[in-house]
Amino acid sequence: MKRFLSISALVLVVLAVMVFPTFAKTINVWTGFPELEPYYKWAGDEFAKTHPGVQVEVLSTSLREFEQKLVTSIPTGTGPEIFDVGPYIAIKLIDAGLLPANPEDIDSYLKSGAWSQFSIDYVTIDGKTYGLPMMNGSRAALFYNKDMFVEAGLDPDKPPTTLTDLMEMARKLTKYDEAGNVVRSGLSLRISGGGSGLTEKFRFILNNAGADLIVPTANGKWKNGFNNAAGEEALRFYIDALYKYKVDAPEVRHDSDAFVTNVTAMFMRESWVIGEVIAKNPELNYGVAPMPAGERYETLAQPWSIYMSMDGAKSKEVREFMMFLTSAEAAPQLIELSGWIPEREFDYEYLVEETPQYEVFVNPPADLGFYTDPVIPAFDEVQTKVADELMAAFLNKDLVDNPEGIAKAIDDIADLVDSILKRNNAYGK
Amino acid sequence: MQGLRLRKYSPYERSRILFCYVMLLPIFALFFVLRIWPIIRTFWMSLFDWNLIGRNHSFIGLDNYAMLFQDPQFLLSMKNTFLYAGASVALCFVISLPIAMVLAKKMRFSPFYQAIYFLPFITPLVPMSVAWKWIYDPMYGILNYILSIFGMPSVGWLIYPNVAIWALIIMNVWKNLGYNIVLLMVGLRNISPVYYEAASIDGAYGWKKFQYITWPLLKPMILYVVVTSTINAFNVFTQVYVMTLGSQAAPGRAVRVLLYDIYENAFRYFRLGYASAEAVILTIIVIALTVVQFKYIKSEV
Repeated sequence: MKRFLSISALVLVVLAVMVFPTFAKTINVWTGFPELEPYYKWAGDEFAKTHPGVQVEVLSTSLREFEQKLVTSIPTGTGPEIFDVGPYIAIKLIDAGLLPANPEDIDSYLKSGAWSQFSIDYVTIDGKTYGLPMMNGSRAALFYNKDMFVEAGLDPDKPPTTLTDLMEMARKLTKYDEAGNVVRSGLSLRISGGGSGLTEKFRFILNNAGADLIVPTANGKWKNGFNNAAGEEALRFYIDALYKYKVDAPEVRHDSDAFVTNVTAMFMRESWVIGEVIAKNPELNYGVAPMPAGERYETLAQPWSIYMSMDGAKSKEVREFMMFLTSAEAAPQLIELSGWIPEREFDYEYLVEETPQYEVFVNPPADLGFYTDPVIPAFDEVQTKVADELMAAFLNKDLVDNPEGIAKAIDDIADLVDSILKRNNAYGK
Repeated sequence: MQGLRLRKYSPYERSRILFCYVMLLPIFALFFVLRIWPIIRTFWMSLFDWNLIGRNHSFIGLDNYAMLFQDPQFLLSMKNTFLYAGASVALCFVISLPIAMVLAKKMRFSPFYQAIYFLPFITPLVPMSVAWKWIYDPMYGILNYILSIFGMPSVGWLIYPNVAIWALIIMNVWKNLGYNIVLLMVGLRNISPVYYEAASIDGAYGWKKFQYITWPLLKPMILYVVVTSTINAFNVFTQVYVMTLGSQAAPGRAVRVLLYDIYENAFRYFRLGYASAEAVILTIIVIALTVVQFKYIKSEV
């Protein structure tokens, strides 16, 4: 009897171990935006309430490290079930057949009216949809410090509307020490650091000056789109800002760090900065305005999507969690916990009442146009390598009042872009 | 031939020799799998247009190598790596030798100073790089503050290309100084005092003793220090990676080194074949330099 009981107990334990994993389902979520971690955790807890036994594990790291971890784990089947990633990585994985097209339920959900046709088109490749656009990844606007405007004799309710105004106002807002060094920049530009971010920020000026980094050709390929007067104007804007008008300097702090610590009066960034200000300097008196116009009046609008792995797409729980993450119910939490704006259609009235700075992001002016990153595998390499060249140009003081030098610099960078496109079989005339 | 040699041994000795080889086999196997096979595999991959996440890898022979020598980023990273390695190894050696000679003498607090110098060597590289990023900060960095005390203008350490690579070299010298000092001290203390006593009797002192006793007898250790420092310097990566992260970071182009370029090509652009070709070239350079150093320094030992 004793022996029978022992064997029965052993069999039960073995069965429990074998059966248990089917009940305790873990959904791994990876992100390259650490500020999204609280949102994913909240969503996981909420989802578990309606899906007992489902557990969500979140891993977040810096964007570049996350991307590298992802592209080495997805091909080997050791990656997460759900991840958010930029289109430049997603297209490479789709191209290699490593990401599943949306199953029917996800596809129907995407086309249920919750997303604009623009968003749907953006995740449609060869007639199939991939992933769900979760947030407005790179919609940028101009952040400006109202107190500094008042101090400089500028109207805090009239931020610059053109690139010319932007430079003029930046000149009035800049502060110098006795030796003439910038101690507070009037306009903080992205001029250093590694990676593609520098080019992305350069495009804020480049596109509104009237050029594009790359443009499609008649045969469905791409070529550089900035080896022209508009491209030269964009580079001249940076050179003048740094050396002619000295509204910024390599030595001062930049980006959101500078804005929240009152070291810059203006800079161009995405909506997450609002969350950063709330967290780090809630007393900051600032406004957010649409991007100043040049030849064009546009801003970058980059849907940022969540995707499933091949295995993840087979799981009902994973698909339901994908839909929950992009649901109307979860949208307010995405904004509150991360500062990012959901890509789906949503009534943002409450949000603007609470935090007026969101207005530009959720209700942009009707005449403001949008541009996106071209969805081709080579684009990340183009942006990253152009960043290196731009950095060198930004540090070249000889380019001040030197149209030939600027034209040469732009010409060299354009050649580089075309050579990358050629190597990737993406170049056309 | 081997069979003939083994016949010289008794069956008992032969079984002992066999036992040694059998016991060494797992280590050899591990060494082969973890060290030799990846090198062979890297060379093999360098002959292909190999995309990290692509499905098709086409054989392109030596095309990756041909492309490398026309790639300005690769040539720049070669130049930066040679500058970094050459300057780091030379500066570190020149500074560490006199310090080692002072500390090798039986002086008070010598262990304390050794510990102080050695501390940076055991500090993890990532937090150390972050700390140095702050030290080099043009507005808030302590280095510029110290310069300002002496009335010197502030320097954009990580901003300007001609300065940024030297900022990395300074950091590397600071980190590895202690390692060199400890090794050179071991070498110095192993030189028998008898030689110095004999030299003193012969009327030699100071520089002559160094020239004819210390330097020649220290050469094996110098060789070891120079070879390991050179290999380490050519493998520079973490500092560059950390210092080029973020909007307030060093310009990627100015501090581009070979390993960083390999990493970027492999894991950012997914050009694994191309990155493998770079890795093969790096391996050849390091082996060649090691052979030259061995030949040059060892021949004089």
